[in-house]
Order: sequence, then structure tokens, then C-alpha cells
Amino acid sequence: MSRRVVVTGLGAVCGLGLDWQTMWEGLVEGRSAVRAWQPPGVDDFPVKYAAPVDDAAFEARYGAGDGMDRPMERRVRFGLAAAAQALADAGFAETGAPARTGTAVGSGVPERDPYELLHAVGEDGQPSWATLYADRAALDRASGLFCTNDALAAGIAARHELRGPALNFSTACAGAAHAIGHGFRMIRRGEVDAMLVGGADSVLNLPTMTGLLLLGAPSTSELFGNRLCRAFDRDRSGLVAAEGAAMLVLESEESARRRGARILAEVAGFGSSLDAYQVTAPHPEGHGAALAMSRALADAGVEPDRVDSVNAHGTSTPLNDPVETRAIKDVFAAGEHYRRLAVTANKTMLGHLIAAAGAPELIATVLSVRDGVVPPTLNLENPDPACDLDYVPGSARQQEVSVAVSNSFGFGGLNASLVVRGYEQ
Amino acid sequence: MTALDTVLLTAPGVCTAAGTDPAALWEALLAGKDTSGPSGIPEGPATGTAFLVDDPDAAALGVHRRVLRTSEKQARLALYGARLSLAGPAAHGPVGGPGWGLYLGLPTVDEELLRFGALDRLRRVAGSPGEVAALYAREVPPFSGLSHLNSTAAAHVSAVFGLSGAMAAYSPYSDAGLQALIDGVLSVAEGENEAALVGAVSPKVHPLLFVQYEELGWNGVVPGEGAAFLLARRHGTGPAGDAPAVRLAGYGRAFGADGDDRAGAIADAVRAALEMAGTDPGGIGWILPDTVWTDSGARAQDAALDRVFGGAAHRPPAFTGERATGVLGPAHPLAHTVLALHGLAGNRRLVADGDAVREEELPVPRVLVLACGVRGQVCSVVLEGVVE
Repeated sequence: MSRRVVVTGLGAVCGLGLDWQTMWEGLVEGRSAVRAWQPPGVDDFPVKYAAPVDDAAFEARYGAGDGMDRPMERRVRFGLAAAAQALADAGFAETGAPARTGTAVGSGVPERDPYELLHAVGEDGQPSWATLYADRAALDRASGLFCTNDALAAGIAARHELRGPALNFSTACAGAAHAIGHGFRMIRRGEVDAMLVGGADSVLNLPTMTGLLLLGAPSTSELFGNRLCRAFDRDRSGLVAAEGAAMLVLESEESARRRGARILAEVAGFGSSLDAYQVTAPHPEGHGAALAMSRALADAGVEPDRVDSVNAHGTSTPLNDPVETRAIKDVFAAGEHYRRLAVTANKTMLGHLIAAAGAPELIATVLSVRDGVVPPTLNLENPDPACDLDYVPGSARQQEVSVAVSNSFGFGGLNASLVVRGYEQ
Repeated sequence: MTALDTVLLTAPGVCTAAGTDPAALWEALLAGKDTSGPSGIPEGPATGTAFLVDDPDAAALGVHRRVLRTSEKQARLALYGARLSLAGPAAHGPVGGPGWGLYLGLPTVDEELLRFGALDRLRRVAGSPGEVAALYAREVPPFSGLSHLNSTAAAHVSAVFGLSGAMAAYSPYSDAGLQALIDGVLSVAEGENEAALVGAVSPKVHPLLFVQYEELGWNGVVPGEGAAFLLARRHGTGPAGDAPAVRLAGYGRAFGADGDDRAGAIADAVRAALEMAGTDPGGIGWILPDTVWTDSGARAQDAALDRVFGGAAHRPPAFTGERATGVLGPAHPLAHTVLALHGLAGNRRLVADGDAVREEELPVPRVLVLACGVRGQVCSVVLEGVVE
């Protein structure tokens, strides 16, 4: 059995807004969610900018009811809100979800409380696990020791009574893209009729950001203010971390048409790969990235010269952007088609949602196809000779987008690409 | 013939407290050998015994020592399990390349960021967030951003063995191991990979893990450490000979949050696997259920098996390897898959008889393996004996 898979619902919570419509409006208008940021109470943390969710607005909109007041990680809160939004957007409240509906999400490392291990220090000043265990009732249930990677997928499935498979993908910054790709495959092969797919993450806490900082991943520059995320620019200096969630409802064409659902676009292909190179750097020739894109196109049965746009991973790191450029040029080499691609880097506006990143970027890809507009790559002011594609700098471009590719490449060379095309009956 | 029929699961690589050989695991279970030892955990639900394995060093892994800086014990166990699995295929031809994929079941990494030696300083500066940040910058291990990221295990295995095919990694509980098995086999069946290394590792036995487990309802089942790997490859593409192999004849996946809903989900997943395998409860010769570590989950699994197999004329015996391995998290169902492969190859099964274990003939060459995630995720597979 091989069925077509369509997108029928969207949900997003991110620095650009608390629903997918606001996020898309921000992307098209070239607004940036990047702002001055420090861990709570700290004023000299080396990382000065991030793209956080507006907590007050989130609380006002999603904080009450449906158990949202229970202790839970930020990523789970954001993910539950985005999932509810996507399921409502798909019209399941009116028609009911198909009986065989599952859940697949990508998540990263559990959130950490910098003070959690103080519970291990006894009155004598000596730390011990026995002391921590004895004081376990006082530990924060919303972070650190009680956080597990399956909490979001299982939470969504339980809350919305989705009895299909519930999966959590752990593939670093490609987690959401893998979740979406595997959800797509499960529908295509007939295992389920619909999947709630996406990702949620929040690394904006001191311990996790310190770990990233020590790897040299985030930019510590103060030169560009909120124009710091500069994918493909000569002066890019590292990723700008973000938090949030995005979810999509994928559905078999048959199920969507039977429900009379609004169809936004078709997910046509998925490809993944490993760099098989180094844990600390992408393959310098972009072999893994190119393999993922090529496999996704082959999976979709789409020739490279039919692609109009690439939603790039585009992290604004010194290593990723030229490597991704090279991989795009390899995949779209025939007839130098890469010269005709509109390549966009949403992270210049959203920041890097880490494990969730692939989900808002796939939503942007879907809406690019639906609306015929490619969001811009912001802050591309000084071109890097090693990054010589058309990155749609500065402002959005109205153009027909029949087929688009969305890329997500994780730490250690864990890669995923998705192909989206306009839906035609 | 379905696409699944074209794929073999072979080349078992297992590392548990019972050793690194499937036959040794089988024999340990049969002999009732005590492979447990002190857990090293001072207080809490896991106090007492555990089934621990040594942390593999660079020499055992065949890697440069710098790999140890960016890995935690569970990533090193993944490398070790992968090495054990790929040793046989590597002796007969090249391993790796763009046609070789990787599918892993991985626990969350449970490890403190600040070592105990820094906690006194943390306490002294706790009122000053700026000084806390400075302390973290000084004391957090420089590669913790990688070693605490569970998917780094996939990056290491990929880099060491040159696997650049299609991939996925799942976490954090036992269902993750079977998700990896199912999708790894499907990746070969659907032509995405020529071969796929499928594996899973346990969490390391660590005090933080059991604070978390207790919150989720841990019932005191003894924890273990280990890894289990297999290779999914096409029929006829491996070495000639009598390498034991099984095929994934059917699978089912579902979710049920709790109580009767969970039992229903498990029963649905088992029935789906049986239906895909073209068989019924009478066509199963051995059941390797999950060692579910919450009482409610264990009750749900028992109820589900009663629903599906209660009416069978000869109900197949259920057996778990926990008495020689402990509970292995994501690696548990894959260790069971290795046991199934061993049993199917010799047409034997293990049957618990009180505290004793006996071996008997396997009446039909099909084994059911189950995995139940702690929050209600369910996977089941039917494995069938194959002679290549």
C-alpha cells in the first residue's frame, strides 16, 4: 500500500508568536524573534542573545486548564499547546480524529535546574546520593531529574486519546524532521491514517546553554545586536538558541478528503543519512547532507530540477553554512539548477529551536508552497564567497513554489530532509 | 511474499552481565547462574543488587581515546554492541558505506553536570546567579554538550563503522528498542538501506535514574546494563553458510495511557503483529514479554496476553531474560530478540518453572517479543525462523 500524505493542521509556539498564523506572518514580514537574553538572574553570561517564547503571553493564552498548570518542562508545555492547536486546526474537534492516529515528536536533552544537586548536600555540608534521595520530595518536578524524553509524545497521545503509535525521536537538531519523516512513512505504507508530528525544545537554561557554550556552538558576539543570526553571511559566528514547538497533522489523502478537510500541501518524500565523519563537525564536503536531500527527492519521485526552493538548515555557524551550500550545489548540479533555487534560512528569524527546529521550518515550507512566497534570510549583508546561492536576502519573495525541500542536520551528522509539494487532486 | 520476507535479522551482538555471547546468555539463564552484583547505589529503590557490565575502554572499542571524552557509558556500550554485531559480517566483506543504515533505541543520559566536588562551592554561591554561571563554566565537562546528548551514540557508531545510510534513533524506554528494530527492518524492506544495524542500550545504573524511575512507579525489578544489536540485511546478500537468522514476520504499535486502555493497546499491537505474520495465537511457540517495571504496566501486559492467548489450546510459555540481565531499558526487547534468534536457530525455548529454568523443543518456529514503554507506548513483533 502506498498512499499520498497531506498536511491538514498546523500549530506553533515560538518567539515570533503563539500560533502558526502569527509565526508565518512574522517570517514573511522578516521579523526577528532574536533579542537580548541572559539566564535568569545572570547579567554577564557570554551568550547575549536568544529567541525565547514570551512567557507572559504564553501563560495568558495557554497557561490555564487542561492540566497546563501541572509541573512540566517548558518544552512539554510548548509542545502540548502546539499539538492542541494543530489538532484543532485540522478540524478534528468537528470530525473526530481518524481511529488510527499516532504521535511522533522530536526532543533533545531534558531541561536542567542549576541548583538541583544542592538537594544532595546534607547539613554537614557533605554531598551524597542518600541525601538527595531522602530529599527527593523537594525536587522540582518541572525540570532535571524527573524529565524524560517521552513525556511530550505520551502526553499528547493521552490528552487527545490518540491510540496509534507514540514515538519520540532523539536525533539532535534533526529530531523533529525525523519524527515528521517517519510519521509520513507510517501513513504512506498504511500503518496509520493520521499522525500528529513535530517537535518541542527549550535549551534556554543555564546548564544546557553552558554545555552548548563549551562546545562553541552559540554565538557570543555582541556586534550585531538582534541581527546576530546571520546564516550564510561572512560575519556569522554561531547559532542563536531558541525555544518553542511546532506540530503538524499529517493525514492520508483518503482520510482528509473523506473528512472534507482543508489540505495545505502534500508531503511527498523523506530522506535521512549519517555523516559517518566526526562527532564534533559536519562532513566538510557535505556528503551526509547531500545524501539526505537526494534520498528525499528520490523518495518523492521528484527530479532535482523540479524543486523551486530549499528551506535550509542554515544555522549561522561557521561550519554548517558553507557545507550545506556545497551539498545543495551537489544535489542540484545538473544544469546548474542550484542557481535557480530560492534558499531561505528561517533561523535568522526564529533562532535555532534545536531538536524542534525542523518542525516550524516545515510549516514555513508548507506555507511557502501554499502561498507562493519564500521568506527571507535576514542579516545577509556581507556575502561569504563560500556561500554563493540565492538566499533571498532581506525580504520575502513572491514566487510560485511547486516543490520545496526542508533540511535539518543534527550534531554528529544525523541528517534529515523532507520534500513538500503543492496538493493537486 | 511481502517486502518483510526479503529481510533477515542476523549477526547478534549482545553485551550483558551474562557475557558477550548469545549462547552464554542462554546458558546462564538455563543454569540459573547468578550474574548480579552490588548496585553501588547507597539508598533508594535500586539499593542492593544490579546486573552491571564494565565500561568498555578505548582498546575494547578499537577507538582513539578522544572518543571517550565525547561519550558516556551508554554510548560506549552502543559502540561495543555494534562492534560485536559487525565482527562477523566484517570478516566476510566490507562493512559500511551509504547503503548501511543505523537504527538505535537510546535511554536518556542520566549523569550529573556538576560533580560532587563542586557542590560545596555551588552552595556557597547559590545566592548569586552570576557566580553560579561562572562556576558552571569552570566545572561542567567541556564536551558535556555531546556526552549528555543521547544521540551522540549514533554519531559515534556511524563514524567508527562508516555507516552513512538512512537512520533514526528513539528514546527513552523499552519500546524505543523495538521501534528501532521495526523501522530498521522496514528501511531495508522498502529499499532505503541495503543493510541496517539495529541496536539498543540500557541506561547506566546511576542514582539519578532511580529517583526518576521511582517517580514513575518503579516496582523494584532489578536493573541491568547492556547492549543488544542485530543486522537487518537482504536475503542472499550476506556470507554463505549457516549463520542463524530470523525474519520480522509482523509487527504492531499502539498507545494506551493506563489501565484497561493500556491493556487494550497491548492486545491490539499483538493482534496486529499476528495478523501481519499471517498467523494466530496458536502459531506462536514462545512469548518474550517485556519486563515492565511498573505494577500497572505489568498488569496491563498480563491482561493483554490473557485476552489474546487465553483461548489458545496450547498457550505458549512466557519467559524473560531479566534473571540474568536485569531490566535493560531499550536494550531489553532486543536482548529478547537475540534470545529468540538463538532459540529459533536451535529449535529450542526456555521455560520458567518456579525458580528453575528448563529447555524444551520449540513447537512452532515463531516467537512474539513485546515492549511496553512506561507511559503506555507499545510495540510487538513476531519473529520467524529462517534458513538462508
